[in-house]
Amino acid sequence: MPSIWTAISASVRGNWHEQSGQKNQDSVRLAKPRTAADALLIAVSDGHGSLRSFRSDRGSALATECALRLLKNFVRRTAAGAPLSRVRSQAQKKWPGDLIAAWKHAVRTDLAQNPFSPVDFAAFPDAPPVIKANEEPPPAVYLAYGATLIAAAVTRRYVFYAQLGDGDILTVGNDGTVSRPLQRKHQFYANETASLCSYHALREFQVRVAPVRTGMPALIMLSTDGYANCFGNDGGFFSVGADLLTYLRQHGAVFVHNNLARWLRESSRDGSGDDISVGLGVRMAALGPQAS
Amino acid sequence: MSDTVSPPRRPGGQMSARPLHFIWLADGSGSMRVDGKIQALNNAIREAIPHMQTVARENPHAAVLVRAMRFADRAEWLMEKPAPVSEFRWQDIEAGGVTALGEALALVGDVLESPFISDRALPPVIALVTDGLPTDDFHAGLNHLMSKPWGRQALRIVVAIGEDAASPEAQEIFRVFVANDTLRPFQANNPEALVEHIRWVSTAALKSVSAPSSQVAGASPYSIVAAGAAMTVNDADVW
Repeated sequence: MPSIWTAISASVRGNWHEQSGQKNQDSVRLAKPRTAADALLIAVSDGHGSLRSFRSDRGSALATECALRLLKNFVRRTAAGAPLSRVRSQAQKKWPGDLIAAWKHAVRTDLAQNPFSPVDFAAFPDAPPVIKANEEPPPAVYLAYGATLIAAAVTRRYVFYAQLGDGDILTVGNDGTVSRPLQRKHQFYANETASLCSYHALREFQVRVAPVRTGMPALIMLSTDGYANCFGNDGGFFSVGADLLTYLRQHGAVFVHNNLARWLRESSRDGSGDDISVGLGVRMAALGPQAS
Repeated sequence: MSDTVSPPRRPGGQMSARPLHFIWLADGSGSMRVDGKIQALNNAIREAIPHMQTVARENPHAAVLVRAMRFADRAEWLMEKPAPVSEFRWQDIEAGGVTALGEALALVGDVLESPFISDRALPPVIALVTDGLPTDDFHAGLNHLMSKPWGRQALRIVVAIGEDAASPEAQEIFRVFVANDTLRPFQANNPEALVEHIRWVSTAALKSVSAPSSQVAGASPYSIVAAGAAMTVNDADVW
């Protein structure tokens, strides 16, 4: 039986980073389902890109890598008829802590292979942190790799959403109505964000498990904050979701796939100047017979 | 389905650059009359405006809006609304009266919230130029400003003029206002240094806050001082 979901992604270096010579600090990873039994997995991460987070391109790549691995495990463990109440409980109580621990482990492994040099800390008054074997590294280590994370998993029984820090998850209904499946705990101002490297990361994590029986979106969009910051208000940004669904229906998934990176580059140029990454989950049955 | 169809318009609504509010807080107290400090302040800010405009032009992703306030016996905005930096003109201020810095900070706090500032704005910059100690309740004003999220997120910088502003009491006031260990006040003891510092503060601050990089909540976000400290200025004491 063919898969009922497909996925599209793109990640572009922002106009600002092109001019300053900085790498794209974002990362996006997908696991497309091959059969209807497989889950669709999407993870998007935004490396902070600030002076202190000088390895955040690595940090975001590690974040999406860990997220996809843990999502896969989570979906497998909860596939065989576990009650949704247990799925929800594990999603909220266990998954965020596991993800933060996995990311920190990945950072330590990366650092062991690529130790800091004095040049990395030349701009700061403090010396490079001292890393001792078998001891938790100081916060400056994780800050160097600082990144956010948003993730989604679509299974036959539930849709899992998770978010730590800025970025947006939008769902688009069959009628084009756009909404946020996760309501923000609090607003971040200016360029402030929660992060995988934050002391309070676990407290800031938001997770939701939505049962499929209450309805499935036609489109799920995960994006780094560089996209929403291109628009003057939420209305302009929400139109992206509705427009993409229209284009998917009118022109098909291949067309959107082929144009997405260009749209993001133009948006960065005319809007925020930031890197932009987008992961789309597309329910093929919602597109109509021609598009699929 | 084909990818040769003429491309539809880019998805989404109208795009716009992110607003960046830059606020000058200019000391117009009587002591600024001494030794031409007020003229030097007027000249220095007027001279800095074209440099701010250049920096703003180089970054089309930020819409720089400038406002200025004079504080003496009272604090008052010099213009009703923030002006796009391309249209901003400095109006000379006169010196006379005491130093109502607390009231000035409270007034700034009043405009650093919705609907005066968009939730997509970049961090505001508050540049305080002063030659001495406040004469009103500075802490009440600062507490009001810092009770606003945008006030806490603002890059707050000080250009201190003359020896009174170098006193331990004044330095303590500035330290509390800036609230960032990596940002020291810029001390100007003559007109040339004032011009240099104000130009530096206005342009480097704009560049610093207009970058799209994220800052971890609760961390000290800005670091423009390292380069500022290396600046060579005339350090001959006039004031």
